[in-house]
Amino acid sequence: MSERAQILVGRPPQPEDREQAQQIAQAQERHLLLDPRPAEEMEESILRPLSRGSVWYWTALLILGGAVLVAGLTWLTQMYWGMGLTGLNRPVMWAVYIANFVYFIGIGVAGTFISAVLRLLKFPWRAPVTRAAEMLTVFALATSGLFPLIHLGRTWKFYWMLPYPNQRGVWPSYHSALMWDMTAILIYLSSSVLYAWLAMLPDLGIARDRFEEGWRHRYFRILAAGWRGTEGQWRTLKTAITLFSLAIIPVMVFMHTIVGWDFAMAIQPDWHSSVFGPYFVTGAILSGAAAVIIVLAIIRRALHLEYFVRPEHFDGLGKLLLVFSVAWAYMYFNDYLVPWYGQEPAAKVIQQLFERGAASPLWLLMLFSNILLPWATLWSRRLRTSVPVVVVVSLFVQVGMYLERYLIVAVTLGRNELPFDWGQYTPHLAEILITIGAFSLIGFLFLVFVKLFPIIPMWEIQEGQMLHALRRIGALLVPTRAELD
Amino acid sequence: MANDVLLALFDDLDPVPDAMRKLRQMGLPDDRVTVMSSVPYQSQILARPRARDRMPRVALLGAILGLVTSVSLLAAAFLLYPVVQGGQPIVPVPPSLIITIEVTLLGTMWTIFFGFFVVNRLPAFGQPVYDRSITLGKIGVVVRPDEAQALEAEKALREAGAGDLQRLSGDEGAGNRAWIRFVLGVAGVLVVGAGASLLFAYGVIRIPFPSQMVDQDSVGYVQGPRLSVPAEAIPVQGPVLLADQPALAPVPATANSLQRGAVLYTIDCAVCHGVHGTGDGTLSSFFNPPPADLTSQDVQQLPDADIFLAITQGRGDMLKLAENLSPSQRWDVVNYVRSLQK
Amino acid sequence: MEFPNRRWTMIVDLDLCTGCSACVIACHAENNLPIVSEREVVRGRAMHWIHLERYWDGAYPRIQARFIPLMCQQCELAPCEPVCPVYATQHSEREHLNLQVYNRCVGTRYCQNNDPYKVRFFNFFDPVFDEPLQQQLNPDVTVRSAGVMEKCTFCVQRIRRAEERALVENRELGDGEAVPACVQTCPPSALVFGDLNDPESRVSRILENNPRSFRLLEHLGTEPSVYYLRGGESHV
Repeated sequence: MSERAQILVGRPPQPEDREQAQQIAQAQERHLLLDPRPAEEMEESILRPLSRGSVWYWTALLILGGAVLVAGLTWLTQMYWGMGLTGLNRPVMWAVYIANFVYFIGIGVAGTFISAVLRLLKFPWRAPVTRAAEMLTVFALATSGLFPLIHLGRTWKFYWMLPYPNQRGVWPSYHSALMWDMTAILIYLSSSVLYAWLAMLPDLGIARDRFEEGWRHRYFRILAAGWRGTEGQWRTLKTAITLFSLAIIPVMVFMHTIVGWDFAMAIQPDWHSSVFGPYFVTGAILSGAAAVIIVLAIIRRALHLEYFVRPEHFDGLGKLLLVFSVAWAYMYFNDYLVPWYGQEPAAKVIQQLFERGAASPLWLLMLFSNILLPWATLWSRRLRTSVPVVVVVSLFVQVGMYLERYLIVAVTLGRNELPFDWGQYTPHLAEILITIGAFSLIGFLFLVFVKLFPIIPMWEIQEGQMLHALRRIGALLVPTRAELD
Repeated sequence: MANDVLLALFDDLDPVPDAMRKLRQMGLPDDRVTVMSSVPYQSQILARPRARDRMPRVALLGAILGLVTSVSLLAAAFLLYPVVQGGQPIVPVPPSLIITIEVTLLGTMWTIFFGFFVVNRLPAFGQPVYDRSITLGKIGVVVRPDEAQALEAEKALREAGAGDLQRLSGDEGAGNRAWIRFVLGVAGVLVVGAGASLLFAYGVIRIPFPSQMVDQDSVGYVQGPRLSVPAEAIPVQGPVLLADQPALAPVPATANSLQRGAVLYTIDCAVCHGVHGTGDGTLSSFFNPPPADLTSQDVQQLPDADIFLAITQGRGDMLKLAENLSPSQRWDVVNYVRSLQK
Repeated sequence: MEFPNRRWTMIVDLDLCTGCSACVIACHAENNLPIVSEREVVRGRAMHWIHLERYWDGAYPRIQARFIPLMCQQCELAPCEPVCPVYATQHSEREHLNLQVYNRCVGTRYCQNNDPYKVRFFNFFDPVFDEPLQQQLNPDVTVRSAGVMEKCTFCVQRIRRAEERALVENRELGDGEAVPACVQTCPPSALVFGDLNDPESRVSRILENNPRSFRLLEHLGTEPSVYYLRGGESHV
């Protein structure tokens, strides 16, 4: 055992040595940060997937790439013929595309939340999770950013929404929540990429050193930008990451609040709720935490990273999931209670549609997935540390959150103040293909990323392993963390 | 002449503070020593003075830049071309707050990112002093001693337990200059790019792109109906009007038409205008002015419609032949008269 | 050219309206509205800038049809305006009209979501005018392409024409000179159009102290420019 994991014992070894050895072994099996391995071994196991690919990998890449291609062709066809290829009608002018947009942004929000907030709060179980979470943000945001373009009637004129000096005599209108949206998305997406790169610099240095030659060495050298790990570089990097985290957290909160305001600014019954800002943020973190869990489980299994991603991480993320499930339930109850009590006719009609009408199965499934299932399972540590259980709960949460977006956007728009103008929406082939393509795009980008970059942040784990140790208090060996800032 | 640089690699953390103390005792200033590691160590761990950290000021600068950008952006968007929407004031306060906060944070974050690279003079050019084993867990100590202290420093490091000691020549100057050139190059590219995009933004360079609503199917006031005649139809009432073209004879000058025209000409026109249209027919001497020379420029440059009208209504002493010839027969004669010039 | 301020207002007398839909046809003819196919209408994409909202009242055999012609209400505080990110829908302060700029619209459709009267229509496909029907198109009104929102404009092209003619002839615009196609066509003259700023106009005189007048969805505070006059027993 290397010197890094110092075992500080209050007394010299006693006849309970074997018990102590057993306790140590147990703690090391549970906690990644108490179980250091030589750096070379860790780096090799993280960097191995970059140069080795299996049949599964290439098959998956092909299938997902094919789905993305099909979606792209569908989009081009839709641009050529017009939005009539979708199932949109009057009054349901926003449907699956906007639901997808909100859904994918929701997933994206949580990635950086987990990364930034957990870094600031120094949660121990965040270490192997941060890079996957940040990349989930970047890919989900990039995918969701396509949907405002996909849903435009004249997509090729989208650049009119960019604020730049022009000769047209008109600028975009910042009265509109869509402009706040565009600003926030561009800011959040670009900043997430920069944030991921910043946090990845030391790992890029490691990768540059491990790949001694070839094209991989070249691009790692370029991206690592000469990182050497000097004191000045480390100090400025840590401060930069901390400050960046502090800045990106309000952006993240604002981002999804603004997406919620897309709806809250409207006069449409059931959209016109002041709780939409926090409600959407809470829902986003819920769906995003679930997405991170799923991504992590897939990475763990596919890349054989069981050493790095352990049940303790799913335990931590599961707790996060439970907390935000409770928070989401609180927000949803708020949003439900007020129109129910007020009995405004238009809002009442919508609520009845959800409770007793055609949308009822979707609504009940949503409540089951977002509230009932997490509350029934995630309170138990035993269930939280079981990876399959947590993954299944997360999948249900994804379904529930998607349904929540769909119900808010597509179903609610079908009802309004004038009953003659009510409508019904069904998704058409174009929307289904593009939605499948969007999910595939995230998977595709992840597959490409995993081949090109280390998915586990090595330096953060090494740093964590340096800071964590076992300490004896009475008869118990307790994991402790050094406070070095 | 660059001095030699010493790079000592330690297998573990513990000997490093020792080495630092020895070097300090030797009289080596702290800024001549750099420690490189694969995990961040606090300066106190290494028994080193605290490294300078300019990032908070960089972040503040970024926030100010972001604030200025957002105010300019909003001023431009709302005040350059004011438009009334929905009873909101021209400069609405809550949306302005939202955008201001967002763009300020954008400025902060981007400045932190790029500031990090600037502060550390990254990307590094030239050959910075480094060893690959540092990322395997070794700790590298770089010492830049004077000529006089070089040997002593080497001894101190070995005594402290350095596993590997190398002498390298390091020249920071070239790397710095290359870095400045790189930054200026990037800035230059950005400026040129912005300028070039302004050319597009202001329409100096236009990309032709089909704009559907420019070409309208509706018929304008100054245009006649854009109906073109079906091939088998023969409008006999008058000249055919095609948009933007002078009036044309509705009967095309085919061989049949010319033949018919020749026959009709012989019957109705040759007696005055002559067999070959030169105005020297049998009766030509009885008219003053004489019948027109149909082969002359004066006649040939008349539009078809004029010749048709002359036949239909007469002209001067010429009789009107409306009752003698049907309209299509008149057009045949017009075609024949046209062919007379050739 | 400087035109005087107007407050264009439309009055719909529900007692006179017979539901004949002549206004709908007139609007189609005047404003180059496309006929979307039967399939599209079933999908809910019919495009009638003015249409009759019909509600069934009562049970068999005492069923009554209640209908109300609905067109863009040209709201003073239009909720559809501030949500457009490209200023394609704006407010004309001089004429108190809600303007729709076709060639600026990028098709986000936010305005329709925010419109409580749902009187905005989106071009889901390119409009098709079979030959020779395109000869009938009004050259004063753009034929909109796919991806563009459109709505009733109070026949702003006719208003413009009337005002230009009045300016050229150096006289005031008379009441009833600027008349939208629907108003011109309505057989029982249930639609009245005019300038509320002019105290002598028909609209002003009808609306003065009229107990029958009401506006749709007034509680939303949109301040529409269309006034409805309550009907008798058999109507709304």
